Amino acid sequence: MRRSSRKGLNTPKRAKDMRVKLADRVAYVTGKLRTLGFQSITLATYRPGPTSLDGYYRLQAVKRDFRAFISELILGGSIAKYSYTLLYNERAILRYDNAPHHPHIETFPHHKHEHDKVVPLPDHSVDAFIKEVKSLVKERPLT
Amino acid sequence: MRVRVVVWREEDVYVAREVATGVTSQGKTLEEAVKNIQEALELYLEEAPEALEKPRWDAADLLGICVDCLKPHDELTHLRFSRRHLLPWGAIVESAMSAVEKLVLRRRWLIEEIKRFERKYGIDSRDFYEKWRKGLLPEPLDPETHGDFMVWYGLVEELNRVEKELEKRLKHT
Repeated sequence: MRRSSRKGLNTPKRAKDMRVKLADRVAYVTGKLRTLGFQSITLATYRPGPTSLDGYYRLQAVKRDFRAFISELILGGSIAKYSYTLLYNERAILRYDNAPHHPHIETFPHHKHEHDKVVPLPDHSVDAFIKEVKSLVKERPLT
Repeated sequence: MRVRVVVWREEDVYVAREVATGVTSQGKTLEEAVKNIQEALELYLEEAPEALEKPRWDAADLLGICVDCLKPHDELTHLRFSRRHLLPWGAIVESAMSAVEKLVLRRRWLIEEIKRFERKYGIDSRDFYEKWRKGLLPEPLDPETHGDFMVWYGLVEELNRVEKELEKRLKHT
């Protein structure tokens, strides 16, 4: 409490200022997907929490035979849990998530599913995911 | 009759409190906070006109502590220097309470959301949490369910944290 009251307007930028609001996050992710050419972006779930820095949402978007699913739980302005999936012809070809399921992976709990393989995920940001989606979409041109 | 209002900043709002009655209000700006506290005080004093004559806090409470230097100051003089950073002693007690209140609100929200998932999937949350944590549930293939499970898991984890924190704080008071 004291710390938050102390947050003056002139204090230098701190990690705290990196906190993300639920509404801003949805707009950001939606924007990224749209830039990639994804359409029919549907916000299936949107549940704001007790502050603007808490809540969760689930959205999906379509591009050709690809479907992207993004779920995030935001607590205190950080992405506490996430699940990002890319389907190609209704089969999951890529997923980033931080379920505590693969303790042997060096980036535990963050990991990546590539088809049936589970591999480390050094950069678990949504930006990294979207970048990878971009190259996967490129690799599979419309026949 | 003298009304003494202390204003400080908390997250995104200015909180204003009349020190004798403890009547508290808030606003997005300093001016708005003061305007709101005036209205709140007027309403309060209509109900209890004697309130200001019998301060709830004694003189010692009217010392302020500056959260910048962490030293007590005479509230009114220090107010001139560092209005934004001032917390009266009474407010520290109150803000400890409001931290509990925040936790209570948070807990309420978490439980409400968790119940939605329980209804949707027909599994008790504690049961789900343990099984998902230990990897005993089959990984859902469809991305919607996977997303739901991640969120649900995170909500239960947060509820556990909040309840621990609440317990700790309530023990202290």
